[in-house]
Amino acid sequence: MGEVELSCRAYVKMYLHSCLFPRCSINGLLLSSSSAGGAVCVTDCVPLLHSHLPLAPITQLALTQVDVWCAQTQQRIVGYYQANACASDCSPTPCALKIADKIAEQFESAVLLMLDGSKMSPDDRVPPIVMYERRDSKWVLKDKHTIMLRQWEETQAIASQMLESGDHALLVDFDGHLDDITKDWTNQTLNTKIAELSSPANGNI
Amino acid sequence: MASLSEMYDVGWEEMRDKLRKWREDNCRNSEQIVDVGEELISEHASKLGDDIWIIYEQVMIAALDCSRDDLALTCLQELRKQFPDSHRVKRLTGMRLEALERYDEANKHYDAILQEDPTNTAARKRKISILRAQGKSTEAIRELNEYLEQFVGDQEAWHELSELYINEHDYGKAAFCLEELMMTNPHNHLYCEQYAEVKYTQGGMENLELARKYFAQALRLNNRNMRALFGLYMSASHIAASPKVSAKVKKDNIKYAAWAAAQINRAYKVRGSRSTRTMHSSYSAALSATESRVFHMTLQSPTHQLKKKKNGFICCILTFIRYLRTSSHSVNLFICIKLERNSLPESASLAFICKVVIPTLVAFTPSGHIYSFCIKLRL
Repeated sequence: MGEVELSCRAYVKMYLHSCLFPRCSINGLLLSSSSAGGAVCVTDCVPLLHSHLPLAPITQLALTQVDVWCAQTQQRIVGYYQANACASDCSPTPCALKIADKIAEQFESAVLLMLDGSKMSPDDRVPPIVMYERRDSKWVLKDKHTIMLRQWEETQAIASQMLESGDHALLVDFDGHLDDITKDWTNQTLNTKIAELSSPANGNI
Repeated sequence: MASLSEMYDVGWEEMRDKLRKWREDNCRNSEQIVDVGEELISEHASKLGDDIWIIYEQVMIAALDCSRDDLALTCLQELRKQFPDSHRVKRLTGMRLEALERYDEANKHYDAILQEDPTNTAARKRKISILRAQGKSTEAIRELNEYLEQFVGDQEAWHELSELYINEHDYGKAAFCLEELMMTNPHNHLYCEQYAEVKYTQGGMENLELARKYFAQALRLNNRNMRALFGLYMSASHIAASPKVSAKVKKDNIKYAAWAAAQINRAYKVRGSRSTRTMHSSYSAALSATESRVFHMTLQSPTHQLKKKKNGFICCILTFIRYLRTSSHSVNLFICIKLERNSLPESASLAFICKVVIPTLVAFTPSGHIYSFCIKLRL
């Protein structure tokens, strides 16, 4: 199907989310601020949960809130990401498929992204990402050549650097917001930090 | 690199007390424990006295959690020297093997402990953890069930089992485990709220009602539990929106949903920081969208004679408008008037709408609100 581009900000936040909760399954939503049609450009992500992923009420609540926020900020939900607690297992769980199906109802070219926990060390050259797309009501693996990460080395460097300096503790997911509603699940502070670290040459953040 | 005690100006006693607090609260902040514990052990071992052994155990487990095998081995060797035949130390040896993913050796280790002492719960639980780590959920569930038949009071095990069932989407059995936990811990709001979430996920009218009740119970135990508040709002709204419930049930649930919505709005206004103010307004919009749906149901309740119901009708509209005041976004109001056979003719109902409904809305809606309404006459 179409091409998918993953921005630095989206990747770094996903990476930091999985590093913040290394012992839990985590999930989140992928957002895009560019217009529909052509390549899907994932520009941002919203980390959602790190506990009880299959339970319905909080997931429904989070989807509604993110939907409303997206409508206000001219973004749309274009995908879903998940990282399983068991690092060696990166196959989508039934709840991942369910949520991805729901997103695909609203957006045809939705993507399902699984983070591969076994390939997340700084020595690994390839992005630890497995992407699925929807074809004939089933989720099939996407052709690797249609997935783009611009300036991958730089993105990886930023992610490692932020992990080293402990910035992953600044990330707030929806679960964290419910524990303390003063925390901002859109992670504006983290977005600013990522923007500061990426070089001016990196066009699409 | 500066030591922790230099950086934060803490003495070794404070570090030791911090470790004790984390031990008592059963926190899993392994990186912090390793930082504090490593320094305490290397610099102040002599001052700790007999506390050092339990600190070795705590730091070792934290080190395994952070892949610090060097530190874990040091602690383990000290403990082995001091307590050569201890089952507790043997369990730690097994845990180290688990961390190195040498599961078969670890299992043999635990089996040896169980041969000598069949009632050793720690070894049995470690074996179940190995099954979980290997992804063998069905076996883990089976073993855990057998374990709980013998050790019915083990709270930790019941909670672990509920997690396993939730991951397998077996919500009925997960609910059962949480019921056991609620029985023995009636004041724990987290168990109530988790149980309610499971019931909500199961779906169906009975389960939704139970979910609402337990969300409410969780709120009674802790009125700051936001998950319970949102859960109460959502379950009450869903019940009210269902076509299968009686008018009284609908009315009650609308009241509950409205109360929860007001509490949520208040919580965001009072406690929300500046950055979450935008979240609050976005949430208000979502609430309004569902609120209008909720009120749609009220107004749809069968009218007998329009004249009689006029006052009731106006009360409904006023209540709705009171909620408009708390939200700041446009709202869609659907008014659906259902007429019974042989009741007032169409012209009379239209007259009612023009003379009563619209003027009431116009008079009482706060200015600045945009609302669109669709009036349907159902005959």
